[in-house]
Amino acid sequence: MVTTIALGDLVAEAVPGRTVRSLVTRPTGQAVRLRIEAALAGSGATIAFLDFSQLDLIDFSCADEVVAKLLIHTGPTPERYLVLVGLHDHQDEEIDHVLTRRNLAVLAFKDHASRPRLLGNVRAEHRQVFDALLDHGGPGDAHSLATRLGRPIDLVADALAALALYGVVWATEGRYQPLVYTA
Amino acid sequence: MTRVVEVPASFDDRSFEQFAASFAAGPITDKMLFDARGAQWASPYAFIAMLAAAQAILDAKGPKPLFTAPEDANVGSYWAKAGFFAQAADLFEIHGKVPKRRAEEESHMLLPVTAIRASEDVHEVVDRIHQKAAALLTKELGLEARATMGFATALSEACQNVVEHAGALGWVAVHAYSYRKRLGKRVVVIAVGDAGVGFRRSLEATQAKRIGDRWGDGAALECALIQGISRFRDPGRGQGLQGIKRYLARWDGKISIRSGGAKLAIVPSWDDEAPLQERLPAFPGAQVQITIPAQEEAVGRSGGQAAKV
Repeated sequence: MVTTIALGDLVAEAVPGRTVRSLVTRPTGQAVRLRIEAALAGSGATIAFLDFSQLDLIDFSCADEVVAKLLIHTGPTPERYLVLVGLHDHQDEEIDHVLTRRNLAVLAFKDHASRPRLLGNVRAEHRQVFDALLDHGGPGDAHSLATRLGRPIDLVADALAALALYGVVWATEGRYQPLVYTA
Repeated sequence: MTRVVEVPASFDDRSFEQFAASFAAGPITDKMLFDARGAQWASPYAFIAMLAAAQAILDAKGPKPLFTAPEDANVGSYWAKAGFFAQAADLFEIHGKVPKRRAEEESHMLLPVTAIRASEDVHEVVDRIHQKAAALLTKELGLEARATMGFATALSEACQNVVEHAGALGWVAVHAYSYRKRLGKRVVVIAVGDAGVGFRRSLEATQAKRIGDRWGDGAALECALIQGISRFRDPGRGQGLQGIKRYLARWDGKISIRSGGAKLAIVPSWDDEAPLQERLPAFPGAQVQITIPAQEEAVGRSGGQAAKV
């Protein structure tokens, strides 16, 4: 089960009486995060898509207050995955910066048709394995990906385990699958 | 007896030191007269410095300072358009001719001097400047479209420093002008300042012991700007200034922060300011200036506006 949370609506609630397309300042970020946490607590969804498409701008303080603290407080867990969607390129940078500093990572999609991007503190060799899994076109295991990449199987297995811990791939009985942005 | 504080004829972040020395020449509770009669030009940094000085006097329970407006009508008009007199009215007893500012006159200014009291003000500033900045940064300064988002982010973070760390009222202003003296290009300048506790006092409780004998205004600025240290223990804090630095590195920009008796700058190749200056005249709060120059392809097609310094 999935749920989509439109951050633009939450910003409008947090900053009443004004049309705001910017997610800026820590107090606003905190207000938005508390609303997200309340929505997640009542949803029972396994995958939560946080939709940024109504927003033009997110600053570092809000990237930390909303995305980083949400990952710390509520996920990812095997029962819940957080995915960012509707992100413009420039919003990537602020989020990537704060997640890297906190040693966190998240999966982000620009839209339904786009290839997912990893934001945050993901090592280059782990990104390579993630890309190979995307190109694999379905669930993959360490053996098949190691063969595809020409890399030692134990290194690929470690990378997949790390990606699963970050909550950017599903892990089921030794097989891994990237999260997809479904409607 | 009234002490005269000289307002430099051309008042920017460099000549600020002359102003600061004059301001610091006696007790802050002196009766002071800010003499701007001979003023010809002032940067956003200068406007905010004068407001911060007056605010510090009032915070110290000193007598309301006097202010003599520029005698040159064009200069006075520009200062009015820049929003200086609107903010100064409550802080100074103003003498001389003060032109009225009409709302439509703001249009060529990215952001007139605006008070920052709370995070709602930061929202207001970011929303007001977003569209204006986009047009200026891309068409006149030749920055890529994505640079406008980073610009708004830098502005937001600089303003939040006032709300979160100064513990006092602050101001922000954003202007664009031709910076011929040092750069030969147009620049956009963000100035943010306050009369608050300053960086040393803000960081003292968590950093003074770690730094030891070197602790002071300069060391506090290094902690914040170079090391990304915040007064909060949360590792997610202190990212605003680091983000601003990254943005400026990409666009060959400059940031300087002056607080107490020190000034620290990340100096690009086009400027020759010393990165760290200490033992400067003491001045209240903190003053931040962010300068973003036109990129090469934009030079030559930008029209002149405001003063050329």
